[in-house]
Amino acid sequence: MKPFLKSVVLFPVCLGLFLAVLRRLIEGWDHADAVIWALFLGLSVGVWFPFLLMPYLRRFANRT
Amino acid sequence: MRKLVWIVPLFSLFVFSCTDRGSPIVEPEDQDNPDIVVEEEGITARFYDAENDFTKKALTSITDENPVRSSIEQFEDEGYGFESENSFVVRGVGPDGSEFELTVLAMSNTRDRFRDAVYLFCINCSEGFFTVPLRVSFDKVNPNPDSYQIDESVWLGWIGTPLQSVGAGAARMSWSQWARCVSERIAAGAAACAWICRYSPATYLQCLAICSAGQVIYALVYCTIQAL
Repeated sequence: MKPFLKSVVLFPVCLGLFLAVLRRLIEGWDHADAVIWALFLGLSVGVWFPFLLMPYLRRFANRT
Repeated sequence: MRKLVWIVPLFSLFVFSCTDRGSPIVEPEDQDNPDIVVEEEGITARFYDAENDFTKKALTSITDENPVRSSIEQFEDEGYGFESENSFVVRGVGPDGSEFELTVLAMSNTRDRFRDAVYLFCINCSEGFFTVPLRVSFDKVNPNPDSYQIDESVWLGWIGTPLQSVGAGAARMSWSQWARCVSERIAAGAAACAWICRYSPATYLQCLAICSAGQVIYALVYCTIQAL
């Protein structure tokens, strides 16, 4: 799979699917929105940025 | 340049923080015991216990005695939008002869269906009581079933098909809610990108463009699934 698709498309799609399904499951919780926002930021900053986006950008920068 | 790039997400977040997103929806526990039932022109509105003291007080003054004569003077099918210009007004006369006015501000949040929606109201908004939430659900939002359809938006293109196909009674968001969902997530994602891209090995703008693209994809996926 192309690095761009893997880094910039696949993870956000999976993240969107995961959080949308989770949001449905926890519907009715008092702080469901806060949970989703926290997971979104946590997974973005803690997983996507360091392990997928930055390596891709490093390769991108070396190539250009 | 980097400071300027921050302006967009920060301003977006500021705007969203200032707008009324609606209160979290919990299905009214007292669904079978509304405080007031208003029937007019085939529309039944059930008013539930309000969520703050002022509304409770106002509601009590309306419902102390029966009957309550009410008229729905303006009931537009755009009423389920978030925007205030799409609001509609329910006016009535209380048992003491005083007039009251309920203005629908928004269908609160995203989880309710049009046919049994929970709305936010303000009472006598022109006098400044614009933040008073009141829960109400309508048995029949509009006599015309077509009006349940979420408003069509050409710019949504192919996405419009699945959403509109379930719009009659099954969709969980109106288009305005969907657009708001997407834009607030893009704003938050862009802010995160603006911060994280300070550490990017690529140039700042390259990083910002790529990172924001991912956030847009996330927002579209998340909000579309939420809407269905």
